[in-house]
Amino acid sequence: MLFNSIHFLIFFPIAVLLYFSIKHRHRWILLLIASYYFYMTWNAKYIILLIISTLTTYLCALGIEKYNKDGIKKFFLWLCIILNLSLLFTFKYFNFFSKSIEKFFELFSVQFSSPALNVLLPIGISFYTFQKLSYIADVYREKIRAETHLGIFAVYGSFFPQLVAGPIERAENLLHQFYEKHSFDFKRIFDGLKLMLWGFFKKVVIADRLAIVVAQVYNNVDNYTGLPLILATVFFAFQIYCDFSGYSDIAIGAAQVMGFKLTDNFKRPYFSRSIAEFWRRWHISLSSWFRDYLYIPIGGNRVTIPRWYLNIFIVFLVSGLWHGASWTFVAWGGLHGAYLIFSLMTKTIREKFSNAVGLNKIPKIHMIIQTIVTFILVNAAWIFFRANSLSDAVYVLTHLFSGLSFDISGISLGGIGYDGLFIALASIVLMELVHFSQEHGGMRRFLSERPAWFRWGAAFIIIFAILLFGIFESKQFIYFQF
Amino acid sequence: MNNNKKFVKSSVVFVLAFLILLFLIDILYIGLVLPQKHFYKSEAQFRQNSDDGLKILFAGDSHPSWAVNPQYIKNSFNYAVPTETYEQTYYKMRKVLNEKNSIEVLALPYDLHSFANYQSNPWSEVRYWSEFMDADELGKSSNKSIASVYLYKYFPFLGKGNDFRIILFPGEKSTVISGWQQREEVLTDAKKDAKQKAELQFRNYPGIIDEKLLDFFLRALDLAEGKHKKVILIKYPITNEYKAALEAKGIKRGEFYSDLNKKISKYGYVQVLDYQDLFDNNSLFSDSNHLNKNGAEIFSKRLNEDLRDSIID
Repeated sequence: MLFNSIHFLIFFPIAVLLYFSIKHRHRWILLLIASYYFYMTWNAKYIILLIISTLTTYLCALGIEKYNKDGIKKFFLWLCIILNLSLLFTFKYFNFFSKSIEKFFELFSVQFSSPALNVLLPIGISFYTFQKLSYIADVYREKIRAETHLGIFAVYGSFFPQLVAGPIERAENLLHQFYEKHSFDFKRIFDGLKLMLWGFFKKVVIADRLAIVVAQVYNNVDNYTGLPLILATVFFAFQIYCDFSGYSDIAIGAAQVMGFKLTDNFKRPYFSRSIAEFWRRWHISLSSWFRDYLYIPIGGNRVTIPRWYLNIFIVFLVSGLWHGASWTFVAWGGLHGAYLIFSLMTKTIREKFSNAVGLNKIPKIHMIIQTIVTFILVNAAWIFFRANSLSDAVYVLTHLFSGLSFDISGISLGGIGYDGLFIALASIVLMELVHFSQEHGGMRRFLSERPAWFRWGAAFIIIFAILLFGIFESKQFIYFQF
Repeated sequence: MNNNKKFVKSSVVFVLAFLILLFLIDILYIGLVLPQKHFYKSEAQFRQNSDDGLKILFAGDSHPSWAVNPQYIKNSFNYAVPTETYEQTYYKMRKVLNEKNSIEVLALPYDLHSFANYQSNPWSEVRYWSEFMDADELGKSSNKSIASVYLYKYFPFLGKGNDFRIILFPGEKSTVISGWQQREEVLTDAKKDAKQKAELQFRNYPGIIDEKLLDFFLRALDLAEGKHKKVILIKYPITNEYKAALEAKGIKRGEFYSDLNKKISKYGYVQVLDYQDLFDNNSLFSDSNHLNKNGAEIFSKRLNEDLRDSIID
């Protein structure tokens, strides 16, 4: 079930009404049924994977807490990690590695027929697996107590607003909320609905509109050089941002309607002044997961400098692989790792350079330059993320400026037309203005100080912008595939 | 408690205001925008003008839609609309052939791209297609839920805000005469356009014949046979650049049609008219494989002669 589907528009109000109609002690049952139904509308039989992952993690966590011996605790920790990662590997990565081994042997002219599994990628498996792994690690580290109520734990592992594409919630943030009694608070509900509305706007008006142009260019990259490639790449940057942050807004808003508070996942990432800052603003729940459960455990920065760089590179390679079973994602992750390492290696030189040319004396200009450079670097990496193959990505990179053509007439062919492009660009500007204003606390205060007709007018503008300019043909959110 | 009452009251007023606006926009769209769109203009003209004298009906996609000017072909109507696939043609014919007994000849396109499944969204005009198909058929064909079909049918403005520009810029209204859409543009960069079109239309090459479309094409022929109608299959004019772009992709027209001709050979009442090599002059085209207004005039006159010679007389 997609958020932007009629199915969800029927399902969600029913779920909310039932949620507030029944007694608090029974609400977890409703949430569990609703969440499992939400998941099963996509592929009913794959619910078994979610149940296996939930039961395994639940029992292992209890095992860790029950036994004080370090060896046994470790056994349960690793048992849980291995079982969860085995599911992830089998359903997401087996065919990829199998095919890669076959290709590797082909390089040496050795015929090797690799086995392949005829399975679909279970939607959201990377998200719920990582959520379970953070839980078991936190129990092991005694940061949290193991949850004894299987039903509540199952809801934590499948809460439908964030089940298929996050935010990846830590148990310490979400689990206790299932015990809290949430009242029917109109203001909170309206705030949640407004956030959902904003998410829909980003998804169907901006992301899905840009997706048409991006797909047209990136599915036939050989036909384009110059400006169309640059434009499609920049459009993809905003497509993926609006798609994913739109999803996150809907998820956070939907949870808020029912009284739950989920983690913020984005903070205007394209205004970052460095790659490191970008990762503090982009998919925050995933980057903080990698920091806490991979980067720090393998040593973080408390090691020799070469090892530190290696740790960074490993984390980003794994992050790339987490996104998708393809070498393009690995390259994307690797490139971000390389950016970070390069920025650390050149930090002193860059500081000396900005002092020498006087950039440090004009901080605003310095900030603008840093932001632009970061945006360009991020876009260059997105090429690998979006390209259908490594060779396509290389083609795009090598033809961005060769035979530079400023003719974009071709990319409206069968696409959205110039008025569609205008709507998308105007919406991006509006979105960034709203986000800027929100970040500085201005938008909410500004709106709350206005009379009702003004606030309603703003809401109607967004609602009818969605209805009039939304693209409703999209079948999924980009991050569902991860 | 008072606060909650206030919120409930506000919510009700908000929902009412929303519904009023929703229906207002819907009425505006249906009343002012839809009649200016080619699909609905053509349909209105068909309902108004096609009396019992209608003998030749042209169906298909943008190729016949832009190329056949019925003013030059007596007792004809151009019922083609852009992006129409054979599946849609079949459902359209199913209804029309039942309603208009006077139709003697059905003219369908017989172009290479007609069999290629390349249209990104051929079902965007749900309200229009709901005239020819029931909700269940439309839902299955367009991969939409029944609820979506009804929603798009009764609220056709959904996702079509751009169309309101027709009200704001009346100059953008297209001229439609007996279903024919007049195109003024003249082809400029034929080579580039041809390459892009060939890439788009035959992106699934070598699988350029979509089995589903072929099936509906043959079903349309069966339908015509059942109703004792003659079928003319027309290969519409294309530029030399477009032919070159097809060859560059490895598409051999001869082989393509030889396979298809075998499939239609069992239909005795089907005749093929080939105009692919009719024009060398690119000024008659609006793009590499569509005729413009001037091209349509010359082509329609020629088609009229051929139809009279080979079919009507």
